[in-house]
Amino acid sequence: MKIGKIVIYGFAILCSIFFLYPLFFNLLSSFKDNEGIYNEILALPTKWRFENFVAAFESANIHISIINSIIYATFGTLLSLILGLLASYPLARFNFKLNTPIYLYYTLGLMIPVFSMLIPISQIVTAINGFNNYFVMIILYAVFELPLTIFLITGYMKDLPKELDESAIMDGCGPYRLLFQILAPLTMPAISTAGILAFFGIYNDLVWNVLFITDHDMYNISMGLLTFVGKMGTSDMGPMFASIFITIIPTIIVYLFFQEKIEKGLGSGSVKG
Amino acid sequence: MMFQDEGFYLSLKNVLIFILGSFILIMPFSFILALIITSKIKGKRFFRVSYFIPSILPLTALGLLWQFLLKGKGGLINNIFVSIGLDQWAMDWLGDPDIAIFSVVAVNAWIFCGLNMIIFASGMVSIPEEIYEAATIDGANGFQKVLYITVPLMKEIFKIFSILAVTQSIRVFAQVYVMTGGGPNGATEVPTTMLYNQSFVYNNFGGGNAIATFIVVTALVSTIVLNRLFQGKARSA
Repeated sequence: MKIGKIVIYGFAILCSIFFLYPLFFNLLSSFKDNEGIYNEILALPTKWRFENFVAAFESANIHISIINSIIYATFGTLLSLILGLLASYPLARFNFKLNTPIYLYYTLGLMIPVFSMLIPISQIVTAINGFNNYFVMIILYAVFELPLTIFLITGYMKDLPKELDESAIMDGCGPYRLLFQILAPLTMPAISTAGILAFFGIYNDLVWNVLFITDHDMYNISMGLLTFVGKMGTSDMGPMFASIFITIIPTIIVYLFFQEKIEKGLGSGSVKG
Repeated sequence: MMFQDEGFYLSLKNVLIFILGSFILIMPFSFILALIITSKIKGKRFFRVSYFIPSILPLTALGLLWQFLLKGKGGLINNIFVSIGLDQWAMDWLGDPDIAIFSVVAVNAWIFCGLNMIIFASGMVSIPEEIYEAATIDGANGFQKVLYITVPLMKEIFKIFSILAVTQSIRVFAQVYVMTGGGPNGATEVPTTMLYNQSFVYNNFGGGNAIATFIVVTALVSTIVLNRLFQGKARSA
């Protein structure tokens, strides 16, 4: 029994080293110069080079990339949630004949990988001259998150008792008030799951930013990192590790704050998606 | 034309390796991690967080990080091998066309184990405690409990995992794009990166569209077939 416990703890600790050490190595390396990164892989930096972080901010503009990612993610998520809520309301609460085909049409978007739409969408964006445009990007992101949002919110809203609507309407409640003041608060678990999934999806996006953003001031974290690393190569790796670490920090902070919600959200989202 | 291109078949083979990687690496490993975080050990919360963290971090950041950890000269992995005397294990992990795809699949597993652990754990906590207690009274040991209670009762979750493993493997993009860009020499190309390279690097939109159509059809067919297959099994069982 005792030995079994030690084995389990040992294994558990070994695994956490396995998952955390690369990130820890990244943190240490962000304070080192090339020499230290290559030769002293376990040691603390002999001289703490904070100038690596200064370089990450000054020549990689990593803070601008983070702000951009937050802008894309916040507004994209909000738009996706508003549209999703408006679409889910009739799908979940009304008895339209076309509800099932419309719902299936929306959820088809879950089965089709977004990559298959790279070409048509890039042609649309070229046609409307929508490169380097926050507005275009936010609409794109929101629409890509929409199928999952509608799927999650409709599924949840359907299970709320129908009597709610009836008694609210009886009391003279209009459809907007019914949706935003009665149904939406009750659907909050699904809305927050959808919101978390959308936010992380957009925040971490790579391919749409690669395609449609050429302006350095509008890069998101992925593009910011890729260009910086492409420019620096391996000549000076400290600033590169510093910039990677800076982009990781906001995500870790958000995760530690909303740990359970995020785990549940990502878990259930991928199960259903 | 797409079907005459050898690179296309190579990309399909690579997707297959991703799928196999899901079953060989991610499935057993995240199942064990899920057992750890649902067991009664102390510090569960810390273990949970530490296993899960890679799954939420930006793929680009992780891809770049691993690109440097796996470097042939001076990469962390090779440094570790050399320092413990296993010089012959040091390789150019992402630069050697024979092993590059396996390195990418391994990193992919490292990233997504935590997420799948949460999925498995959600199935484990829904198994009633009484069943385990009854088994303990009957003299079952920990291993037997896992094998004869946990695994059979988690059939549904394993089904979901299998569907996800296939459908998500078809969608792999950022990991490959960031770490190797499809190279060396197309050795790690998957359909999505091929689509990207054909369309936006070589301006071959026709070829790109052919791959896009293929991706849509495979994704739809595999989702429908897998769902049918598993539903049929569930009914007969």
